[in-house]
Amino acid sequence: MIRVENLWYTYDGDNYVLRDVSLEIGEGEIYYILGDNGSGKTTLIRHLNGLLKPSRGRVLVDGLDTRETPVSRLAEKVSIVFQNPEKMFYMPTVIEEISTTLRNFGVENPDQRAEEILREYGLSRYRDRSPFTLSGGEKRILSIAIMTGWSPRYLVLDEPTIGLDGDYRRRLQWAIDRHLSRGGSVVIVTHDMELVLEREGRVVILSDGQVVYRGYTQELIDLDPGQLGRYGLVKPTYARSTSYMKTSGVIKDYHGYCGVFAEVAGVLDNV
Amino acid sequence: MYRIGLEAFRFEERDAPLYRLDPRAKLLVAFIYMILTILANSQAIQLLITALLLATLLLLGRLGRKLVKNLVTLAPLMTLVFLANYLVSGDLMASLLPTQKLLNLVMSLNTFFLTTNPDDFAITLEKMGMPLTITLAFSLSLRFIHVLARVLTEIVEAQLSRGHKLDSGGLTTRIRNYTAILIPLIIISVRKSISVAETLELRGFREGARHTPFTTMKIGFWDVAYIIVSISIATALLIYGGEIENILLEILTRYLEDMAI
Amino acid sequence: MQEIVTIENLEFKYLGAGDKALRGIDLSLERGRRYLLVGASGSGKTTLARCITGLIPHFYQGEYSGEVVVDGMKVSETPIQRLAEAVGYLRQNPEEQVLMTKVEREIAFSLEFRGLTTEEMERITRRVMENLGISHLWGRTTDTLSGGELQKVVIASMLVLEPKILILDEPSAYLSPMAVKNLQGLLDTYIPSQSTLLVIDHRLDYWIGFVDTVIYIDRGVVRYMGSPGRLLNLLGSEEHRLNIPLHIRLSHDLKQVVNTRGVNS
Repeated sequence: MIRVENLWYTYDGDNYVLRDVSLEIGEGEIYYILGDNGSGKTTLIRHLNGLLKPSRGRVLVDGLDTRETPVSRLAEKVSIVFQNPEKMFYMPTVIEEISTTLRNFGVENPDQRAEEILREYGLSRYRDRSPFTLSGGEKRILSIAIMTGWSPRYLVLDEPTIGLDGDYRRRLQWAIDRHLSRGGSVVIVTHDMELVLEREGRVVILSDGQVVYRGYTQELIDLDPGQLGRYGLVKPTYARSTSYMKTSGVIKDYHGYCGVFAEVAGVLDNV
Repeated sequence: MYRIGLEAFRFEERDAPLYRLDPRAKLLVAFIYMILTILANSQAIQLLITALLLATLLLLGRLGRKLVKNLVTLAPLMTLVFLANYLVSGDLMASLLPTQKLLNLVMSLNTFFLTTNPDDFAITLEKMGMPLTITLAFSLSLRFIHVLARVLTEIVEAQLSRGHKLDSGGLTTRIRNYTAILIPLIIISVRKSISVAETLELRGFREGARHTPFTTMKIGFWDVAYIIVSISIATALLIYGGEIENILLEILTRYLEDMAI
Repeated sequence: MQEIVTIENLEFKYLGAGDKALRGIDLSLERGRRYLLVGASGSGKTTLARCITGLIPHFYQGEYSGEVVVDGMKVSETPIQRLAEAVGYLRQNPEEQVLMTKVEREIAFSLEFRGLTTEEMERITRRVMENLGISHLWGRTTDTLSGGELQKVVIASMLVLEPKILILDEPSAYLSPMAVKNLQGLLDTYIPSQSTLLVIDHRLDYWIGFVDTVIYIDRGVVRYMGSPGRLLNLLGSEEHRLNIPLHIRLSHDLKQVVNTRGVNS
């Protein structure tokens, strides 16, 4: 479990970009962190593997205090995939890019494992290409393949859908499901409401460095658009239509996209 | 800390008299102080210059906190200069002079660079006859140093997150760790510079194009006053340096004696 | 003349690339209309924008054939600087498009090469800033602005030249959904109605209600050009790599259930 306890953070000693943030990320959970640009989302996730240390309060990763634990030890548990994958690439080929990270974390048979990962993520045909020559979507999937190779317990994705088209979006969903099915937890920082509404999970909204909303995705569909708007978010048509389906009794409760689909399909079957 | 601290040297807008002066006046005065600093070989005079510069930066520039950050960042360098001189000469007082000179040179430059918008600096250079390509390159580099400093921080964060230990291991590990930072940095810098070149084209810039800088820069009353006061102080120090030094020393000795009692 | 941009049989291959980025593009954009250009990543959206701005063939080299005419000028024979008077092009990252430290100089930059006097430049700059409601930013430095303010400054720096067509490349990549909505409000209010707008974005859900026409390109070929509504129906029935809004996906998925059930019974 990751526990963030009364976290305050300031870069310059004056302005606090995080103010008294507390959250608990449990095992096998999916946790969405939403909020406008500059609300403190990215500063918050940099605390989860110790890149930043709290100015006040503390962060515990499986009981380890991030102020006293080296980043390399925390990074083994908490894997962060940053928004721009290009900032992590430096090896001449895709396969080496994967195996070098496996070695960093002491995975056995790193070369063989790297080949397997490449196959699982459908990247085999790029095996010997330079990561920099891949398309935007391929780079993103590769960065996730690299950052899940050693089976970290927590996977943190920073704005994973930016610049991602439908094809790669489906592969991103696959990678998230795969991590969850192995008992891992996923933390997603985003302002993409459609990504959030696809499955059930916990939600926290940040605004101006503070937690302003706590809840579950199924509650999100009933939230007032004006309230979401204040946090930089827009309520998608999908949320409005599912909310309507709920009040009119077509569906009983919101359980992600698949849940709605199953329920409505069931209703259609009975017509 | 792996975060790169360039903030202490960066121009930030502020509402203070020094910020409103013409860059040319400020550049001239900064040069006057630098020449004075280089010429003066007395610790008392250097102390006086420090006091004058401090007054300028604090009162006219309202730069207190920034100056502290700036000097803290430079403290290791000044300590090094002091220690090196001390080890060579073995004389405590004599080693103080080069350190004082360094301090004063930095503060002189600060009166210009911390208070002058890079755009205005570029225009100053252009008005002095430098070609636009060079002045533009200059102001763009100043801007992009900060962008790249941020990119560098993000690269370090990405590499730490994938298990790189940046300050440990044998020589080969270290070299590998540095390439992990340098390669993405180089590629991203090249990308960004192509993008900037593209922007210049799209915004109508062409080498050798006729250029009318859009600005309202004028030498005014306060600029002239600033220059005259500085020149007067400099002339006084150069002509009556000996006398002033004696008076200063006397005051200092008396002050120290009072302290002793 | 109704058309602001006409493209005939345009083909382009980047220097050293294996495949053509654009293949046999034929299309025309009319004055005063709003277009959305969609397509998967790498399908040629940005390349097409570069062909309209003149960055291709003047800045990026490669094999170029066909013809692009913008506001009566043949792109292949007109320098980018001249085309820039008709085309405003906003790219993904505002940080890489800001050249100056001072807001007003940033906005006036394009004017500095047009032989205007300082007074004329100041008058135009003030007017544009006033129109966009950012007069209070005069004198500020560009790196202290918020994302939304910077966005307005970048737009203002295009508007000083009164472009006849404005191209926005992936604006949703660095904006929150609410900021995209605000941007749309801004475009509604401040872009003259005779100006053409071309938005390049892969987020159909953000823009579909804002534009008149959607152009869908895939692997360098125009696959669809027409009303947004018809595109959504089309996409339900064929293979594609686009991002479909969830409610559309739900209705397509449900339709399929109904159809299969219909066949079974």
